[in-house]
Amino acid sequence: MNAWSEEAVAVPTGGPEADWLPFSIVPTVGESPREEIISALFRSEYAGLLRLAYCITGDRCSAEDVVMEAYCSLHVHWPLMRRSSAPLPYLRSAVILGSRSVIRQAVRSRHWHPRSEVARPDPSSEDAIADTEAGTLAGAVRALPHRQCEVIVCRYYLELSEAETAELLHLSVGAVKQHAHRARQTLSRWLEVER
Amino acid sequence: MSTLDELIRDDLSASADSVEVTDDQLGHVVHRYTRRLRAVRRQRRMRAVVAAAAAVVVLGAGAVALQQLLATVDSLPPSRTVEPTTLPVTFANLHGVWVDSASGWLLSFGSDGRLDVVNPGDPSTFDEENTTTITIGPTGITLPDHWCDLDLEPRQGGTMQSTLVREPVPWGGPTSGLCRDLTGHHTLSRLTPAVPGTEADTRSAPEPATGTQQVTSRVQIRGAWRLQASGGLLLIMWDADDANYHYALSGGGQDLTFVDGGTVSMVDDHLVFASEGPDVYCEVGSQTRLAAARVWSTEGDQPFSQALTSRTTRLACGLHSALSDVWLRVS
Repeated sequence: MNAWSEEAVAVPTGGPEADWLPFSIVPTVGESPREEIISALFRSEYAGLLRLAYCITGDRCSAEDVVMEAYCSLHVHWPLMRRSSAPLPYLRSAVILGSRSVIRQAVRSRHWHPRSEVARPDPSSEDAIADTEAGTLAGAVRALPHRQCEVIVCRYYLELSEAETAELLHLSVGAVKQHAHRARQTLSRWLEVER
Repeated sequence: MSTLDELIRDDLSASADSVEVTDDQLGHVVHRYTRRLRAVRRQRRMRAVVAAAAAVVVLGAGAVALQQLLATVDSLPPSRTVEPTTLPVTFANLHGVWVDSASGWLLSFGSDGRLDVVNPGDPSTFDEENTTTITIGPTGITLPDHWCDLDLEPRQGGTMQSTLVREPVPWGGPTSGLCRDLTGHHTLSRLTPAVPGTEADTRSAPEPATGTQQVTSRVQIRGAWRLQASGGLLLIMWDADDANYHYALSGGGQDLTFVDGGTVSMVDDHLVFASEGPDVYCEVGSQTRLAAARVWSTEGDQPFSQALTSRTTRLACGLHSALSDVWLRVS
């Protein structure tokens, strides 16, 4: 299952941005190209980015903040974007980095109360996973070391290849393989205990 | 595809699919985004106006203030304190040996990202498991996965705030390999000088000593010491098994591995270090004698509370020449 909807949202206008957009755009009178492209990105990618952040943080409110920051960052860094990379990988990368920061800040301030149905491990618990949600691996994935968690989410949720994951996370392909291997070992061990 | 792969994929998808975004919610999000951009633009315009106004005021008042400053600066006492300005996290600013003032643990940062974390009171921590390599990126330092998360905030004046965000679950249990949430704040103090020319190099003058004491008993020197010039680590421990004091001495510099050890005795007000045991650097039985050993107590913002000076009257081997160096108490 691919989490990324690539439905057509608009009509192409040509111009320098058109080649890296996975969809086409309807120009809106009075809007600059930046505004109209970001607006289109909201319609086509927001839900997917929100789910990506949720996979890592397990908290919808935090995920919404992270995605909003990513779009604002895209707006600010737009001039660089047009020369170097596509906005979707930029947004994904910003969401992953932002999610990591949210987790660290939340843990640091000890105010981590996920509002979703999937609970975070009890910070005071000796066993990091024993108290998480029963029967799902999603909580265990979130409790992995952050690099392993990000690799697993990229490989299994975004369904990216090892090379694409490496590019998105700024890692080597070897490192992606290593993180995925270690994560699978840990999750496998956790699964054995759950059974 | 294995069962595990399918389970991971299905669970992540199910977790993600529980997050729904309706058209109304999306409209609200876009509205938030638009308001946010307007607010940013307003702030920028406001800053520009304030900056322009401030520039006018500063230019007018500058000449007067400069005259007043020049008139009063000569009468001000010299300040020894350094404002604790936060420094950027760079290898250069971290480079050196730091001590956690609460636990006594030492952190040694190399210029290439190598990090040694040791407990001076526990020689078993001097192994490869406590050595790793950090990387520094836009979001701070990154440790290898099995070390989980650590934040560092070096400051001017030779201190650093470290925050342990998540720590590894101990090995052996079903959840080993995962990280558990933990927040621990520690204040680290620099034990070795900062790299000259870096932002961390403040070169503040040392605090004056406030009292000295002749060493007449080995209990006065029990603990962990950093040898100032060589950077070596010296441990002096009481061993209940043979009812004697023992020492362990590292090679110096960034390498915190013990290379020599033996017994410490007190003979005629001399401290005597005798090499003993297997694999010691100096010849077994060779003795180094230190005379006029004095402990200097200090106050103020120094990272150490005591220093020890002495004079070598007999040298067993080259490594022991570091013992006549100034000792800085670590714990």
